[in-house]
Amino acid sequence: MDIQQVVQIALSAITLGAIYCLFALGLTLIFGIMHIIQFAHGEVYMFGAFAGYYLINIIGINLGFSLLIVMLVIALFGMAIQKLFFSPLIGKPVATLAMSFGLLLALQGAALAIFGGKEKMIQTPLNNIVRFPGGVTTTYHNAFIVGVTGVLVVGLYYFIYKTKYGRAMRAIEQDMDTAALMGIAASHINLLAFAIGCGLAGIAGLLVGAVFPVEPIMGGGILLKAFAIIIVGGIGSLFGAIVASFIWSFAELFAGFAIGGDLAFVVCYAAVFLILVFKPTGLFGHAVQ
Amino acid sequence: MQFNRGKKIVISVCVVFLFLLAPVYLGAYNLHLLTFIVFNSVLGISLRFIMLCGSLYLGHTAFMGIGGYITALLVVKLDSPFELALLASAAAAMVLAIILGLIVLRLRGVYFIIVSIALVEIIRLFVTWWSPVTGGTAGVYVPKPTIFGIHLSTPAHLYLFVCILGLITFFVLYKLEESRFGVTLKGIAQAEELAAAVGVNVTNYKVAAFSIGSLIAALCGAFFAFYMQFIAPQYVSFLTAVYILIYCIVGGLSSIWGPIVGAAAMTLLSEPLRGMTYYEMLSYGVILIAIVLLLPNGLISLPSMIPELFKKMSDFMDRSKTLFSIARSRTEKAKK
Repeated sequence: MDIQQVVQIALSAITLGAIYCLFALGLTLIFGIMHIIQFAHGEVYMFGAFAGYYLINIIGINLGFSLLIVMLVIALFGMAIQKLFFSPLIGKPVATLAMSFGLLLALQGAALAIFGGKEKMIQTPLNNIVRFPGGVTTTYHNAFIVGVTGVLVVGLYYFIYKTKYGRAMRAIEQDMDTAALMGIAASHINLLAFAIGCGLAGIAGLLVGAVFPVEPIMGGGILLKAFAIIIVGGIGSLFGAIVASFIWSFAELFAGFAIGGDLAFVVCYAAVFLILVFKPTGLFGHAVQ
Repeated sequence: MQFNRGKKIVISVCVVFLFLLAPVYLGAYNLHLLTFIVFNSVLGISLRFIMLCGSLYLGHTAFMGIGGYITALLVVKLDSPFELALLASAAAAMVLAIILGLIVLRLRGVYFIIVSIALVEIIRLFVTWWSPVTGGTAGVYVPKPTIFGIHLSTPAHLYLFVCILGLITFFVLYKLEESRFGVTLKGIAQAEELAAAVGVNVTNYKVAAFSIGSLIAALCGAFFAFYMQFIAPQYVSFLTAVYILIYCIVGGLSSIWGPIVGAAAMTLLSEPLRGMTYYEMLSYGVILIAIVLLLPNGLISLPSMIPELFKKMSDFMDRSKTLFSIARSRTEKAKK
């Protein structure tokens, strides 16, 4: 393995890590606020990718506007899911989990029935290849993915640490009952958390649709990886999710290069196992019930 | 209806005979359906037994895969007798469950659920990778088994095999649940710290339940490989684990009959949809959502819910009658 290959794999890992980061942030945010493991998060991501495909390839709206529309539409979709299916089950953890499995199956089945199993590709105007000296290549779209992710992460941090609603969210995460006594409307904050989490997943879906194929089963693989990521980072910790996304993408690609894809994942999941044995709250997390 | 002990025994013996004689009066297709109902019920009740100590669990297919692969590979590659292979896979699953259980069962709630999913992924990717032995994604073809000199060549033989497995499982798990052991497990589910404080060794109880359930899953996996005459990595899937969990939740988690009712209902329902994966998934999802929202205790609570539903309906009628009469008196007043 020479230096050029290392740089090439590192560039891919940064792009992949950015996608995992958007996905895992939504998952860990929803968990932190509502204590729900959202198994249907991969389906939300898949709907984001399909929405992007129809907006860009079929209707012909440009990439920037499509990004905004997808974010808003998928955020509304997330709020609808929260209001209809999760808010009647607050305080019943087993029923909530069962509900998220039901949504996973129903949404994926519906997508297979509506869109069909054929793979699609989102056409992006940024597909030109960039060549660096030394033979390392990337595309403008990869740079775009990393840029959008950076802007969104900074925006999310600003929202959570600098605004009134962000402070309310942190209060709910720390202690729901006390926060409610202080006059914070928990039901509104729950809706907001779902809207942000699903909006991020929708954008991740759109961005990935120009690199990997868009198909109804695309949510399954990333969902399992994102679970591993939020476990490593500590469930509910935003900073942990960001760091762990990049740890995971680097580990996945470098181990995949060294020993082949399947075995690399066996090693990665086994590492997650070991982390849990020695540090059950993850690298940056605190204990949860 | 109250039955005394004698009548209960007579009825259950009759039902058992009815089941064992099914190959005589059922056609090939219905027999296949019944085989799967019994098979899914066994998976359901063993999963429910693991979940007695409180947490949902999604790693059942990992142990099915272990059982299926060990039995199939011993028979195919090493020409070992089927009985021995079955015993070896059961023992391997039990030992592995005890080792893993001691590590994994210390984790609580979400961590435990996610680790159980990781377990399924590890097994699936491992058998995909180890292709010189497991055949990789192409899988392994498995011959019809011979047990104690009887060649299990027809579907009826295999049906009887799974029936006997089911009867033994049901009887053992039913007795265990009624016993002190089962009561302690339910106590752990309700208040783990309290159970530990009064001197229950919580981890040992959990590991025992986990290893018994996983052993049965391994036997089921072995049966499945020999029934399908084929085993491949796609049988070790997260989705199948979710389906087994659905049998339990749709039927109801409160009694051992729940998973059986759930497995029968869902197997019969998915049969017309076979071959159309997406409608099967869609209907499983929609039914699960409906059950969680409308019948939180599962299908077995349906009979006891009927009076309540009637009461709700008559309340609704009364209220609408009152509203209607108020509205009428107001309109009459307005006319005057």
